[in-house]
Amino acid sequence: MAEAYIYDAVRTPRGRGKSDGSLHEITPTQLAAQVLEGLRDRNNLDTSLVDDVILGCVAPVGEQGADIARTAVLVADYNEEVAGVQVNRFCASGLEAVNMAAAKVMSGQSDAVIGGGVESMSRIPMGSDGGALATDPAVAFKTYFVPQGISADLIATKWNYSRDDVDAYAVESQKRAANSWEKKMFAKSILPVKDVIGLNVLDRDEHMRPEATMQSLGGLKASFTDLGKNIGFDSIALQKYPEVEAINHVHHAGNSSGIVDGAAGILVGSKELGEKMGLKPRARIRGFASVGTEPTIMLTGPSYAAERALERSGMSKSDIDLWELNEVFAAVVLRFMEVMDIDHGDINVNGGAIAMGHPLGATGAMILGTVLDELERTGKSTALATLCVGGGMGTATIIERV
Amino acid sequence: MSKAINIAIDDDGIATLSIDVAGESMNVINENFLDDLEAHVKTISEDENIKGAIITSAKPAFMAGADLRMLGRMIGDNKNPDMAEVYGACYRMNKVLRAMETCGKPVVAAVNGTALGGGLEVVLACHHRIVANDPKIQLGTPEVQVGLIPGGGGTQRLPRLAGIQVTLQYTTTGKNFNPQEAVGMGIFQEVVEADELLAKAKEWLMSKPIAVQPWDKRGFKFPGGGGAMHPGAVQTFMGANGMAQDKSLHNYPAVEAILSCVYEGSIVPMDTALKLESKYFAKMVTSAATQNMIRTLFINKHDADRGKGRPKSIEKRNPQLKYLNNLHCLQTFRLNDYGMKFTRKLLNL
Ligand SMILES: CC(C)(COP(=O)(O)OP(=O)(O)OC[C@H]1O[C@@H](n2cnc3c(N)ncnc32)[C@H](O)[C@@H]1OP(=O)(O)O)[C@@H](O)C(=O)NCCC(=O)NCCS
Repeated sequence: MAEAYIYDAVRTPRGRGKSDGSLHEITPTQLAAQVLEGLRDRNNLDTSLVDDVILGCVAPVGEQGADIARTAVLVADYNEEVAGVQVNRFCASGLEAVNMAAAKVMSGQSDAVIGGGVESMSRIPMGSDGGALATDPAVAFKTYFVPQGISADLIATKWNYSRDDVDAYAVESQKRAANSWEKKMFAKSILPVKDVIGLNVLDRDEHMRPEATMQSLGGLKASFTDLGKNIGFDSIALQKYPEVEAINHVHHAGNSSGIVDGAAGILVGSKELGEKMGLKPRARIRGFASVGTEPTIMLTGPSYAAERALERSGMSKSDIDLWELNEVFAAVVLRFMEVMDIDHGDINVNGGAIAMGHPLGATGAMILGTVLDELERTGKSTALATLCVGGGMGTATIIERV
Repeated sequence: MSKAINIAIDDDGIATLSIDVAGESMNVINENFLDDLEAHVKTISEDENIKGAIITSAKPAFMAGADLRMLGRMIGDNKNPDMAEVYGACYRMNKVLRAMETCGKPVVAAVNGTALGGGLEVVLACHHRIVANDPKIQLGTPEVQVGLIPGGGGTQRLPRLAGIQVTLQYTTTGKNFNPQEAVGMGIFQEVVEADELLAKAKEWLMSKPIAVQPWDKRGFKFPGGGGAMHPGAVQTFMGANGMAQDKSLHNYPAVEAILSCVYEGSIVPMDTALKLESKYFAKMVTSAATQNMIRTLFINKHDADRGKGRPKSIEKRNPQLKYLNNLHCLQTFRLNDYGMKFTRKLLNL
């Protein structure tokens, strides 16, 4: 089997996902196209060597619909022979896209594939694509569907994380993100977003709140109490988890992933591609996995995906130097650290989505790039990036510097 | 003399169908009713002298729902009923009512009394609906309370008249409403004094109305937006699924079936939607849960209320008898709301 290497990784800064966010005026096609342009221009990439562009996008409707990957390829002026495909593994779409790119290279069917993702949550709100999971009674009843926030609060209750526990995690995320920006740790991968006249509209993640403290977070109201108590979703969760007496609603705007706009891309290729293009590989993709888990608690997938990816790669936990788990809700990360026995000092060391936001389709590629930068900065070797996924899934990828 | 519906045609060509199901104190939907309605619809459609029709009741109440004893017998002890056959039987009601609303002549409902379940569904299939101004008139779809779903087009015509949210609220709980409320919901166009009912109905027919339902016209839209694929419906259905599972604890298959009928039916045209509804109805009526609910909550409760098992030695008005009756119901149907309330009262909780 051929090896798949990461040659480069870029991401846009994340704009606040509301109508006053800096990226609200930028179309999702532009976000994705600018990432493709960035990868091409930074690497002097002959785009005729690229076989495919795989982009994650979770709400592929409206201007994000009709295969935004191929659309972005055309808008970015890539060689028209470059194909494009949009994938949806909910929150892990961006990482799944990279894994699929790697699989194409490993199988010898492609030499160069870009994997990444895009989501303009300010323009195409979360849930715009509808879907049967939450709405079709025949599906919702069968699967005991509850919204993600309820699942996160269920995890906090089942693993006994208090409001203070999740808030403390959030404060630390903000601190780490602020420190990383201050020390320019993201500089290598950030691609400022330009407007229609070529001016920079954003060069920095704008969702961050470095001033957050236990006191300020303590004042925020839990976000999912109403859904849980008045719409009945607590009851559904308890029907599936009778060992839990009542859901403790601990998640709120300050300890959940922020709603933001952004895009990211990773250039994956064979050894021969690097030789042909004169590019130096930055890391090798050791292995990856996606798994399904119990759908009502929904967000426990990362530990299972991580274990499967480790097993497939013939590695063990102790072989991983740095861990990156999307901070979709604080309790998801607390549980992962607990069941995987991982020190907080080794995971999400640059902060995560609680501080910087989670542009659904793009985040997987963003955090893989972030952890690669950190490996290089610290001289470490291996990292595992993972995300929890709606519908009860997890996706993980292991990389190793070369 | 017909067995269920009498027809009279006046000089203006107005046919009046008065429902008077023989042998029943209250009009119920049974084979005779469907036979008569089918024949009369054919007459109305084919007889050139008939301009339109009024449907009313010759009994004080307009009409109760389907004959539950008949439904209870429908599968008998057969544990593996032929589903195609059951579906065919269930679909008959929808077929007849659909034939009525597409017969080409205007049909108006003059509702003089309570119309529940299948009775209300007959009304909904009329082109124009007038109800007497009497707050004692009960309207509603109580099917869910015996594990059934509205099976005469109720899950399809109600959302197209009153909107999805209102429909879900009433059909999943079986809660009744009165004439004034029904007008507010968009189910009836007019509420008039009881003695003007037939005159108003005729007046409408004489105004040369169009005999086409809104949902059979091009560009029809659901009140409050669209069907289940309308963006706004995501919230509606997500919320309804949540609340329904909270209340029913996955113990009432009919609640889910009603939600599915409204959801799936709102995406397809009326003819397909009605078939879907009949399929869900067939699924429910053949389920053990529903057959048990009909037996316990209707047949046995009815007998118990009338003291059928009363030992002759115990006098009729003995308060203990009521206890025994209720406990009897409780035993066979533990989750019955009525039984639970009763137990709580009994135990002073
Ligand atoms: C949790 C969530 C519902 C909150 O959304 P929201 O209420 O719109 O959040 P806002 O950004 O408006 O913040 C709400 C309030 O908290 C405040 N706030 C947010 N973060 C804060 C922080 N770190 N410190 C202090 N205050 C903060 C805001 O200022 C705002 O206050 P205001 O109402 O006085 O203006 C939303 O972020 C969410 O759904 N996140 C998860 C996304 C998700 O599900 N992704 C997919 C997962 S599978």
